[in-house]
Amino acid sequence: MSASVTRCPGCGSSNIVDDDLYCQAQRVCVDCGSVVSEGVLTDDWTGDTEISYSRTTAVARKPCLNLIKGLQRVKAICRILRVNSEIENHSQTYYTQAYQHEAFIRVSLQKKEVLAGCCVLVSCRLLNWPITMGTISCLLDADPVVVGAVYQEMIKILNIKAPVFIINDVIEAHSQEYKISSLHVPEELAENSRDLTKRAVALVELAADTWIVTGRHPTPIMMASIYLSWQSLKPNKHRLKLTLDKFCQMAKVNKLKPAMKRIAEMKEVLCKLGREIPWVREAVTPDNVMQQVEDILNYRFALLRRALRTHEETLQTESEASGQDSVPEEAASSQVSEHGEQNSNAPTAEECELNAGSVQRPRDGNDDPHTEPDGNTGGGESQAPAPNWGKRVLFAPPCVVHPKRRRVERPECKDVTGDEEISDSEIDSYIRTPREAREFALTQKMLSESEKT
Amino acid sequence: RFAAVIMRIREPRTTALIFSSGKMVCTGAKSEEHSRLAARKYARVVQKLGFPARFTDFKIQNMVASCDVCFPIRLEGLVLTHQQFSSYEPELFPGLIYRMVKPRIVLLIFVSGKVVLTGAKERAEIYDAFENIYPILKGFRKQ
Repeated sequence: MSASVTRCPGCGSSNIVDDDLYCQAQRVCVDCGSVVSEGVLTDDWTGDTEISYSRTTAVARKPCLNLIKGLQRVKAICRILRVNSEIENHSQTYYTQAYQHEAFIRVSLQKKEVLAGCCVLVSCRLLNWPITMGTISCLLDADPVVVGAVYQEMIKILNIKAPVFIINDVIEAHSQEYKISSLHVPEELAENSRDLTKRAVALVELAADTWIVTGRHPTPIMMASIYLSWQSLKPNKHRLKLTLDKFCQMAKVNKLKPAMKRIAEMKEVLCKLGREIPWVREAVTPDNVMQQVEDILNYRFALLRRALRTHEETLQTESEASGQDSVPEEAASSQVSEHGEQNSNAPTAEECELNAGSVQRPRDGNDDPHTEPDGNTGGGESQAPAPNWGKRVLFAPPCVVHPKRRRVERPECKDVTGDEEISDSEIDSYIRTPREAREFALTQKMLSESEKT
Repeated sequence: RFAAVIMRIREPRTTALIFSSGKMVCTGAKSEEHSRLAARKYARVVQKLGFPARFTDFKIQNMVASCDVCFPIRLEGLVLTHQQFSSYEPELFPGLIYRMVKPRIVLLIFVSGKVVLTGAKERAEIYDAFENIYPILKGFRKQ
């Protein structure tokens, strides 16, 4: 190839470039397209860079139409949620990056739409805009499981450290959905949004302190706290009689079934604290606790301390009466103590470990059907079910207090080497005889024919 | 459609996936020795059916363990302080997923104090992982 040719022999232009797209090096005139000079043709792979079809045929690379539509969808979601422009820009950047990644470039359009929602979600979280995954799923009309999977894959490939969802931040936005202002409902049922939210936030904080929130889906908890907040702000007969069903119909929200259980759990906690109020003479029950909610929330830290102390004293008295000395110390160690409450009788960590590891702990008086018979320290060590530590403390996660019934594990032979002799009779018991095999095939055929008809 | 035969035996109570290539996966055993014994039994069944099977290259691929620390755990606190290893999305799953680097084990930590450890090739990795996580969990017992 002559490197010295500087003018095109066809048009005389000096605009000559080296064209290295193909395995034969060429010098080409840009103005008229003539090949000015070329190198030796070769059929050997010279190790040049791979030339893709799109690169050789593209004139000007146009942006992908689906990417454009996706970015528009991101914009639309941001506008519906009324987020600020910074979140919108972040979302679009993340969407462009994720879209072009190999994990998402070839997925279905439906998944790409879900990706758009996830980009908005992560941008909102990073910029402290409270929003739940449920809201995004609802907006996209997508399965929350699919949204969750796409979200986790996206933050992994983009290496985003998204902050964790905090329920207290979201509840204010969530409470706006409830149409119970004086514009929507009669005056006696109406409630000011600010008061409602403030009370609901305090209830959620109390629920979080007493192990009701951790590990649970947040939306039913928010619904329960808003319902209880609404009832307690004006605890008259009318409000107290209104069920959650009717409340949700009135507020024009969809009722969530788990919210019923959360209401019961939160009422139980409120009752435990309500019993510690010194000026309340009557017994505090779930039916009358709503009247005390204001006082309970105003003095909740002091009431928590009192309740824990009372519980500890009760356990100590019981243990002294029954001659045991290990239980109350362990119980006190599992208490709520988020607000700097220090238990002066707090056990050492070693004692708790000893108590936790022991399988010789005394059983409760009755056979509690809820106590799960699983072995904490090994399935075959003890035939007696492990005592439920959740029942001995004042506040514990509900899944510990009311554990699911588990299938009892059969105690298996422990000393197995893996090289034992295998008896022929045992193996034969797994193999069908020719007659059994014939009968089985015939039955299957009959069943499949009957299914077809 | 699944390109394997699913077979089960009663003792040790396990399930096996047997592929036409002769490879087999045996799951559900309670120990390494149980797993080896069960795999040998499956191989013996296949031999008795007339195939020229041999039992070779037995290897433990995954071990799952569970335990209970018997105190509740503040998952929200744990995910804040160990963000680079933890993933906690209560809207998706009630447990916190902790991906330990050394040993390379994944732990599912629940508010009840129950912990599931998985991804181990050897028993020692499970014990090491638990030795590493227990002091961290104790830190979230009392705030």
